[in-house]
Amino acid sequence: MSPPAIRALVVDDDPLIVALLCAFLQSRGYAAEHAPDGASALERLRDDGFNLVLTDRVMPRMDGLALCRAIRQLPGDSYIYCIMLTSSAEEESLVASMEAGVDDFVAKPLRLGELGARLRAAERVLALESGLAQQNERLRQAYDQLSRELEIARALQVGQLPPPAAFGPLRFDWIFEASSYVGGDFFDYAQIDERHLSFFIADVSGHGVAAAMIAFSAHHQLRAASQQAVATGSRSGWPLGAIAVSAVEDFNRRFIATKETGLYLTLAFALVDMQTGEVALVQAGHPPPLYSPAPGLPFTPVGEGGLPVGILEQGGWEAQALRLQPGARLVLYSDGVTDCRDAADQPFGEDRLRALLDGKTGTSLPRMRAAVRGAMRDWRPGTAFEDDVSLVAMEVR
Amino acid sequence: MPDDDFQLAMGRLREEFRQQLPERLELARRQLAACEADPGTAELLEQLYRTVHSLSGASGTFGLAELGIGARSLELDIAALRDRADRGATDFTPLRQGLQELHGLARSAPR
Repeated sequence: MSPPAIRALVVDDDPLIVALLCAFLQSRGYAAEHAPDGASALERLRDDGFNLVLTDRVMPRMDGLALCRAIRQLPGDSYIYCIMLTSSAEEESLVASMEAGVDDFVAKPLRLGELGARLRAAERVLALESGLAQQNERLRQAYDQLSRELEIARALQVGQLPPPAAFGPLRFDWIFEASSYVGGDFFDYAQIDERHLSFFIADVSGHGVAAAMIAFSAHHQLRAASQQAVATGSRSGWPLGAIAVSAVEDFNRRFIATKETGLYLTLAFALVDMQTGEVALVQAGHPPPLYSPAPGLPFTPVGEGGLPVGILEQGGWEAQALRLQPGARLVLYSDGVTDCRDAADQPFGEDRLRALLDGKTGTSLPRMRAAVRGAMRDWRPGTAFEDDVSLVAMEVR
Repeated sequence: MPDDDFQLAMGRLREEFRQQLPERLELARRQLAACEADPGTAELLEQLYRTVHSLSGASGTFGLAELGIGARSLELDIAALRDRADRGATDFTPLRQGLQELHGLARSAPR
């Protein structure tokens, strides 16, 4: 790293002292300009590019102390090193000068050897400052690029989410609040064939671009695994629960085969038989789905945990069976909902979520969704969520 | 600017300062007279202070050490008087004597 070029401004109302200092600075290879008082100097310094000021203390219009104070208020990122020429070395004067932003002092009458030593110190400080500024600029550029990539990842993530939809008597709606770091939540509902519909939510561990990219890939893998399991299971006459478990196991194999990140994901996967109303629910380390069998009946958690996807080749998952009746609701959500912390660091919690949902079983699905979204935003007003907040609900009409 | 050029410039500035000395001392004398005529006006005393301050710094810098020390002493006397609100014309008498001494030091300065 080459040292920064020094462009100095000499500020003194004695033209001979100015001429001497400029000649001395030029003999050291500096660019040197001059001003007769603090006010004129300040005008010159607004033109960015000076990094060294040698100023007398006693001057008309604006003295050296006021000039240094004003220099420290100037906008701009680069540092201006200030040396005060002073004949008053009293302690009070030194303290006032340093508080005004003076970096160093040179006593008058000037001794050029001392001045040279002070300038070498200034060169060292300016070289450090220049190196720091260059590092900061590189960091800023890297941060800007990362921010742009996160924005793109977030936009792609949101663009992948399905629109609210209905499949026969089944209606789906959701809320999604992206975290400031880009999380790894994804969810979907899709009809696989005339009889079967898959409905799932997943959360890739960690945050950032890696989690988002894994989420994209996993989303497609899970869809493919669901289609494969339904096709195979239907041909072979498997029960619905076996088909659902097969889908999750196949997805687990695909996920383990492709991932190289050490990340895993949690999943709640439901396979719905639209002819019978039967639901097979597989839970893989995800918060338990909440089920309300009919309007007015409270939501209860379904499932007992299970191993997340991507940890072991054999997860040992089992399916829970539900039979849907008109008015039933099944809610899948990510831990970004229940772990969301308010200003007092209190989590939103499952109990609060269930109470909120229980109070809305008699209302429409969009109203329930709006109530949850409002409660989440009220829980953490004005600040970004630390994790994706995802909740997707199915209702039987 | 190569070092030789700087030494040449330094020599030229030293000579120029010596030539300016009578003019600088005369400026100080006129400013002191103005202060004596109007002791209460702070700005007049401030102008005199700046002139003597410049003379003090430049004298030592350009090789006239004794003149620089004398000017520095006078500068301190002016600063002390500047801090007094009850100045009268007679308070400037010591300054006049100090300025006379500077004239003497300037005349006897080594070439």
